[in-house]
Amino acid sequence: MRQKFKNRRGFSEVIVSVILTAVVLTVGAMVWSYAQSATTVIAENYVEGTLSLKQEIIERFTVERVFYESGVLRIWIFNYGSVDSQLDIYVTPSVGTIPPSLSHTIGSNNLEYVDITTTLSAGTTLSIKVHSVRGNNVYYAYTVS
Amino acid sequence: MGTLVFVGILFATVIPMFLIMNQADVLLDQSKLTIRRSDDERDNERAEVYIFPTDPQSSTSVSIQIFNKCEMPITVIRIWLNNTRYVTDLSIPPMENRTQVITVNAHNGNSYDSRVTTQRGNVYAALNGILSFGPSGWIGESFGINIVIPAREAWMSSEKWDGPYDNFNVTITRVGQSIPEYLSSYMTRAVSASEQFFSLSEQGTYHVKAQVHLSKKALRLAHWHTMVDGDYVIAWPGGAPIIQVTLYAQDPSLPGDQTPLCPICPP
Repeated sequence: MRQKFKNRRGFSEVIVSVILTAVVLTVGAMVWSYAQSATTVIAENYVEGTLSLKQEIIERFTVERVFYESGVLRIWIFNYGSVDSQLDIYVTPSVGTIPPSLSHTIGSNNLEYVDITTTLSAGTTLSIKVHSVRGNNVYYAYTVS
Repeated sequence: MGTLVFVGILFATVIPMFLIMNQADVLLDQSKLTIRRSDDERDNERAEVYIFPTDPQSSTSVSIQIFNKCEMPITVIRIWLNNTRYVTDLSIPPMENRTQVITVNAHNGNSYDSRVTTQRGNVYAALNGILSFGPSGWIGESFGINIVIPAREAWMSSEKWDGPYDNFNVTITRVGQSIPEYLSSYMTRAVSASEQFFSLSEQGTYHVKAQVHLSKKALRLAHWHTMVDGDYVIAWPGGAPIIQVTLYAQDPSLPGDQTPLCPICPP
């Protein structure tokens, strides 16, 4: 066995060092590049999530006034927050049903109304839920006079 | 070499990522703090709204009176009369009131439901309910006297009180009647301004007597000191259906010592 490798010559230490260095640098660069892109994606997702949470936290709106006249239920919504809101409105009457009115955008510090055409009799109590796409809810009760 | 690469990756990627995340967290915390402050202000905001005819003989206008009952200025941005809104920019300092006259054309059977919206997003309905116009003129829903103890005056701080709930009392008697509407009704006194509403069945002239109990102090004997003792008129529909009586120990415009003037009290 010893005879078999007796005359074979190995790489010099310099060449080995160069090769190893090259391998380490190549692998290091690959890991660096991967880490860079992975951490960028992680950081971007985190910031995006945090900013989205921030928008959800600072969103503020209220039902300011509700009035029913001539078959139209008018719901006034005041966005007193600092971000625009996209709102869905669900009205549940004490008798019967009213289909939801969806996707109303109300700008920051704006008062807007939403008209819902429906027939309601005097004394009907309405439970109004205004739901934002960010997940915030505001409730209001109104009795038709 | 491997260590250098590791340290390089740490400083060039991981640490900046944590810094960016931390910055986002700081922004979120700042927003939470700001919105909490704003919510607190909104919760602490308090206003009272009354509606009455500007001229009881006329059907052409109503007055909306707004009292700021909190310790911050409030800004009224909208006044509602039924489903009509009137945009305004009415700033009301703490514990003061403003009146807005709105032109109407009242006919028999008309009713007016009034609400006020503030910049902070609060909506206040008229406390005296809905104002109506009938064949005999204007009709209101409720009357009353609101007794206000303003923010603690200087002399109050040096006084000892017998208890937290029994140091003010109020007697309200309709002039010409022998039985009081309220007899020695206790009022509570908060550290800041406090008030109590005394509901009355009709308009007219009422005698209001409000007293504060002063404990024994040096040569002074313990006694009930009278702060208000006079007649007040609810002149509705010629005036507000609910009137406000503020209890000052002395003329608030007087400078200097606020020790209440009283024959029993030392000068």
